[in-house]
Amino acid sequence: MSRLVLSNVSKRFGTVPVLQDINLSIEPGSFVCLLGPSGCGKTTLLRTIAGFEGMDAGDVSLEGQSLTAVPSFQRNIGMVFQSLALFPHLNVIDNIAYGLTIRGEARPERYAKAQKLIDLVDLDGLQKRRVSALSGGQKQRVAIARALAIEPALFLMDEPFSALDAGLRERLQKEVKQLQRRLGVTTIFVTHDQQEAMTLADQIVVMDKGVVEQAGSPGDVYHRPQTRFVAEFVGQNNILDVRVDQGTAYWLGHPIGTAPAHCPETATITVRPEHLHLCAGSHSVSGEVAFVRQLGSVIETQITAGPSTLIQTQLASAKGAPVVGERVDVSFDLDQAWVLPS
Amino acid sequence: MNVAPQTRSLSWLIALIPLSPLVVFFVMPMAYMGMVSVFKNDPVAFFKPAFVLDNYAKFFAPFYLTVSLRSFVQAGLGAGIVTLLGFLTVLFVSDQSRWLQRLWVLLLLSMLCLSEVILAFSLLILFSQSSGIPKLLGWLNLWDTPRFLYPSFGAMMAGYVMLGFSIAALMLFPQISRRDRSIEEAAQGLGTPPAMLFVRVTLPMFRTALVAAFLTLFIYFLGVFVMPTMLGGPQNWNMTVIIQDRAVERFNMPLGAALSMIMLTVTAALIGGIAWINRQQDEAEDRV
Repeated sequence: MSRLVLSNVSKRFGTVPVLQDINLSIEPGSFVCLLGPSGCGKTTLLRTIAGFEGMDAGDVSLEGQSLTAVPSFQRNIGMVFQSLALFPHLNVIDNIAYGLTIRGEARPERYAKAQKLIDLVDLDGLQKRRVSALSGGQKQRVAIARALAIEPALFLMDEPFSALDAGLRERLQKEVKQLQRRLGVTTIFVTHDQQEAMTLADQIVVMDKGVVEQAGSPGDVYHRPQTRFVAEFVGQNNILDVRVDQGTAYWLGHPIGTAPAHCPETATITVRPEHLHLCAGSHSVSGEVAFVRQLGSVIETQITAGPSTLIQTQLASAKGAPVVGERVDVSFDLDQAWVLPS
Repeated sequence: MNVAPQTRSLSWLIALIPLSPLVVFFVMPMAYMGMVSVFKNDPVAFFKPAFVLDNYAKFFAPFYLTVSLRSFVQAGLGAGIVTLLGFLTVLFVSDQSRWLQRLWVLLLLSMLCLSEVILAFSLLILFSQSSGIPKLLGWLNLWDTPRFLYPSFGAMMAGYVMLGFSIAALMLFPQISRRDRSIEEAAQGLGTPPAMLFVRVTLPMFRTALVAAFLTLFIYFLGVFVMPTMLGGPQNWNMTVIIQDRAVERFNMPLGAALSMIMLTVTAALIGGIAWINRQQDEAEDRV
């Protein structure tokens, strides 16, 4: 198992900086998700690690060995592409065994190894089938098995499930996670889907505009965002600029509760929608319901309070959902609030 | 549904518009040629209605067998060279900027409007002792005794390349320009050195498109007339030239028709055979 270290990695496309001074250390055997909006540089970073993109500055090293001057075909990195990039002229088993063929392994050995992977990804019976005749999920499995066949030092996946329907995506997420745990291969997974990142990752690296905004465990990133971007991007959040006076937090001039510990006089706090309640209290704020949507077991309500919009979620119950236009009182559970570092 | 039969009838009616001229201008002359091929030769009246197989029997004379074999070899070699050249060039061009790709397609399209005769003339000038490559090489002291480079097999092949290049390139361009580049990257990531990438992945990936381009050019080159006549010389004449010679110059229309029918049948059998093998392979893979 291999530790990957990225040191001051920077890259520009023309005059546009796509990666800016990226520093990361990825633990051996961990599952890391690069999470961010489209165009934030996560795929470029992945391609840089794989050797398909050069760097303008910085270094990528694996197990202490610099990869910067090593061409992609000598890096021993397995990658699953967004388009899957299966070889259309080869059948399933030959696709999986391709990397072993290139390494000069004899036919019986490489087919035996490919067969093990076929069993592992549940493709038995499809060995000789053309890849064009496979379903989306089967193609994903072939791409994963092909990348793992070379026993890579690093396993990279570039939004491999983005084109799949929700059900299949969820199933494959679980399978990939179980497979990665079983094999223990260090894995980097690119996604813009925060739920996918939360499901899969041991560590999430949130990126925006070529910069790493925060790297940490899913719990850290969700509950303790370090920047306003992370707070807004990962899950839904109410971001409130508050003033603290004698231990009470004031928002838009209204007292909303006891300020969180170590909260400075003026601060930006984040309160998750599940920590807002539609009930009157000693520190509630009045607002008007602007939008309501049913999300199965949860009801999400948007409330206009002064110039701001708050998001509140609650479990769907028999007493029913609020109605658009209804005046409501919103109280804040500030024990669960997080103060954004200034 | 009641609409379906009406729609089908309407489709057939619409199809009649292109089908009618096809029948008149292709099927009927073909049928007429088939008829003439079994007639007797009459130098005065071109042919006399009869049913004889003499014209077909003549094909098995060493001369015609040699010419037909030569025709297939020339067409195959020409198609192979042009397909490969077209493929490599399109691979290169498809990686260039959009602007350059558009310019390239425009150039190819403009080449298509040049007739076989104009292309052959341009090559005659290029290969002539007095004004072309030989003259230039002589002027540069690279060739002591410059001479005409035609008629020759090489000059004729150059003609084939000029004639077929734009066809091959335009056939391959759409597929190659839209190719998924990550397939080649995936191969590299799995350990394929750049030197092996072309043979292991790029070339086999486009097998179907290359076979289609090759077959199109092969058929086209079998019927080429001007290039062998103007650039190849008698030793390189193909069956098309011989058929023209027999039918028009020597007034033996039945022999010309019989040779044409044989060439048509052999070509159709070859193409059909290749298509059948491809289909068998596909079906075998689908059955798994």
